[in-house]
Amino acid sequence: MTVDVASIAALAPLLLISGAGCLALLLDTLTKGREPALRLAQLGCLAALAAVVGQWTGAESGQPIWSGMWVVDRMALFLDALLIATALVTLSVAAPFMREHDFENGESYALVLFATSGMMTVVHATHLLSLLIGIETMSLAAYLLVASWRRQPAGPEGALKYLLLGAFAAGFLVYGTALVYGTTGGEMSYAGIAARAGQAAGNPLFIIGVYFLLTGMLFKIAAVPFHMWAPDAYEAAPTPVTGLMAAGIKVAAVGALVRLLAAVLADPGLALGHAGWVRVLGGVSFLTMTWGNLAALRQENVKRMLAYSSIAHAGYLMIGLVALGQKVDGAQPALLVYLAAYAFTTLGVFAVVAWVGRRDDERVLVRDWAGLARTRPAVALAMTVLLLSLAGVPPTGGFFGKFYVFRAAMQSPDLAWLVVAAVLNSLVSVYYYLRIVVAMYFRDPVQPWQPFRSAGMAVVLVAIVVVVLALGLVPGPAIDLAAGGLGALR
Amino acid sequence: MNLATHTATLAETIVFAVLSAGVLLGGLLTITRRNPVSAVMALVLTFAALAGLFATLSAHFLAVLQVLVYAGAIMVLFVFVVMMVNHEETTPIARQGLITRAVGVLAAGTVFYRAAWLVARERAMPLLAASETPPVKDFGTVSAVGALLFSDFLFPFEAISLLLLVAIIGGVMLTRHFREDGSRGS
Repeated sequence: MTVDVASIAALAPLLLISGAGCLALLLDTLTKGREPALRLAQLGCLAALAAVVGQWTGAESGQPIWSGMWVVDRMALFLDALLIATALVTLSVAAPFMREHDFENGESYALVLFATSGMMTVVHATHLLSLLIGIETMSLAAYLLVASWRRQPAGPEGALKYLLLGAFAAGFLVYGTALVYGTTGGEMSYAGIAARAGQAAGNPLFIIGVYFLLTGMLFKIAAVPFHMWAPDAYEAAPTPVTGLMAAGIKVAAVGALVRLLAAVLADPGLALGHAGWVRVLGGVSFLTMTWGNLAALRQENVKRMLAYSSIAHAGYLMIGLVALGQKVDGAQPALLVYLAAYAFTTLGVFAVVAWVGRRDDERVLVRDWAGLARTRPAVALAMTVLLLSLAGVPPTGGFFGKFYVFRAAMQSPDLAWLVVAAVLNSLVSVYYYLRIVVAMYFRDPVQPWQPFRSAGMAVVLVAIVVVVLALGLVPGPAIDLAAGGLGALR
Repeated sequence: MNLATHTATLAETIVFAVLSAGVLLGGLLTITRRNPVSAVMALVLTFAALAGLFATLSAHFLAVLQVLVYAGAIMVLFVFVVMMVNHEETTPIARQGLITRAVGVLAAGTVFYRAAWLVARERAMPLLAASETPPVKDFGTVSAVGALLFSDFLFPFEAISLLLLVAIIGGVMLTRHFREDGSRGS
């Protein structure tokens, strides 16, 4: 292959984000305060966002470049924009959070950007190698961000659990890659796997390899039974980082799964094992949402509750993935809209949780939130809107995300039971989301306290609430954008 | 089949069997030894035998790298870490309950049964597919690996540098002295 300007220009958003990360790291060692590094990182995000918008018109149908490693198509750009927005929110929330809790460091800003460039690699990857490198970059940066909060007593344990189980998941990915490579005659690019999937379909080693690959990815979206790390890691992480993990990593992994499923399921008649992949993934989806919701019911810690809630959401997302694997029309834009609504809502929720805590007083129990509506009515209102969006109540983005995914899944007769289960699960989830709302509005505060004041946080929160409401009130534009990402895969 | 090729095939099989036994034995010892130093030494055996397997597959460069990087550098690091954090008695990870262990044994048994079934089946049907493209000229040499790294695998080659950068930052971040007043250590 030859390297030309066009193939380097195709990497512009990735280069801007990772370049800004390197520069922020350098700037941080050269300057006194942490402020310049933060500003540079935010600037890098904005520049990368501009680059993504610039690439949009030329990306109707992306062809893999860099010897089949990388593709620029509408879906990747849609998810890029989402991931960069996630990074921007994380940076803006992390700065006041780290200042309040007294562990501000420039490396964290750089690591947020490096994690984001890993996520972007994951959604652009059309080759198992670039997928693996992207996953590892994103995960390694996330482990470090979890461990960065030294004063948090649960920090080391959560980070270590995350690291060990994450390494185990990486092992599954690598082993699965090797088996697929061996059984498809040396193919690691998605196009190559798709071309040979039909021949290899009866081969048990190929089937094991594909399931290993899926296992590695399901670890990353915290699907049951690969979810054990999530509550501990989410609780131990600095709260803005929890937002990044719950939103960014899940978006990236689902994006990669969309491509992976399209590649290994290129042959429509493929069953992948006795039970068939539809039943396996459908079963995992059912377990994930049910387990996540039932476990969330019992949580007193808001961060753990939201961790289980994000596990439940991984279950709903998987319904969309199964529908997509079955080549249901409209499954992909539905999934992308769901991801956008879920990512923004999750970021907002964790931003509020980050805001409420003070130094040495993290305020993460439900009863700590009692009476918040009296002291800070605006914050309580924002939290209520976001929780309703997580529960899927109209007119929020969360409702339309769920609506589109469930509607797409209903077209497949195999998935009707799953949609019924998901709707029942959504009803269950309303209970624990409303517990926080009830605490905020109808309970007396145990002791008076004030969340810290931060103009940056206020701006971020207002922006997120506006986006979440806009996705619910006028979902048309988002659906159109997401449908623009359709071309390459169908 | 004449005697020479027959002897060659037999020798190949024997070498493969010995090296594979080395890999498996080393792996088993690594996870069963209580003493961390013995476990690390068993891992050296695994890595060395793996390098031998690579060499028999004509991947000489990979074999040399395996010895240099894994059996050499990384194992020295392991031994060093074991020495630094040497506790008088190694506390094994808490024994799980009976049910957890039963599930583990069951899962491992299933995998083993499946693997054995596959090996038995291999005779009837080839499991691995042959590549459509012939191997590159000078397969396994430094120049062939280098040419691949800088052509087809240029993107992963560059992208992995970012991964390594994150790892370096992590090493510095985690080992930096943590002061209670929250200021940065040197």
